[in-house]
Amino acid sequence: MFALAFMFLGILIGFLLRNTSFPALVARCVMPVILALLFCMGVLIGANDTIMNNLPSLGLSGLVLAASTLAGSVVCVSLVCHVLNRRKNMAATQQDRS
Amino acid sequence: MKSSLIIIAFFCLGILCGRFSLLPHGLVSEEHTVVLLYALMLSVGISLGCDRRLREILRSLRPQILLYPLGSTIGTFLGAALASLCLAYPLSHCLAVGAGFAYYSLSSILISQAVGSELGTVALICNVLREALTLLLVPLAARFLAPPAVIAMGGATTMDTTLPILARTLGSQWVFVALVHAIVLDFSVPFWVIFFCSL
Repeated sequence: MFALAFMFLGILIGFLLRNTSFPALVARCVMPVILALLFCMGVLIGANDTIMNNLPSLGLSGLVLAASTLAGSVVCVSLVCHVLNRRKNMAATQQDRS
Repeated sequence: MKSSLIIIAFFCLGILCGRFSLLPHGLVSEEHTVVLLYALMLSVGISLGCDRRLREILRSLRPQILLYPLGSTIGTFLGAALASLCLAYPLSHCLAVGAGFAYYSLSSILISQAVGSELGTVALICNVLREALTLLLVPLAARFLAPPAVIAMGGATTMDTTLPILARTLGSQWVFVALVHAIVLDFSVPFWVIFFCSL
């Protein structure tokens, strides 16, 4: 929950200091922080025997979730496109008639 | 692409260090990662707040274009809900993993913090794979699907890592849609992940 508060604080700071070189400086720090965090995550995971012993099944769960979320968003946005196209076509034919 | 590989390399290096206890005891702890996480969220916020592109796009936005990220979100959640039927994780945890929208660095860190390292690992693998699958499948999918549906595959990555392949495959007229799609999803990742983790 605190993480969100920090993000909003950041948005405010970024907006106020948008005309200075400060945001560019911060942008250069993002990647090292991400790397440090994932390294730490790796250390905690590597030291955790339950996770290390179950890595194949965790990987499989990840693959199932990746494939299903990807397929889900493709299907859903395809439907959105379909509906938008139909409405556009209907509007076009109505204009032709009038 | 190169930065994704570096990120994965650091993660694997961390796993090796943890596995074989190569680091002095107590150097890496949950408390340290929390501080780093707050620093990351602060800098993510700062780069959002000063982004002129964001305001340009908000100004020139037609509401219709927002239907794509909305559809992408709903579809991702439906997919994750379906997957939860055959996985050992509860619905809310599957939704939290899915809500990473391929933005693996932030979502897996948030999930590790809120739920635990095990689900965080699943989130990392899932969202890395979603990005990789998108990079692989875009050229093929573009033959059968409407361009916005191809963009939806990439989730929150369609403004950085997967933008070049999308622009090359779909044409530069779709870059704007891809940017709006990613910015909306990107912004919503922390909200959805924290929301689903708290259920």
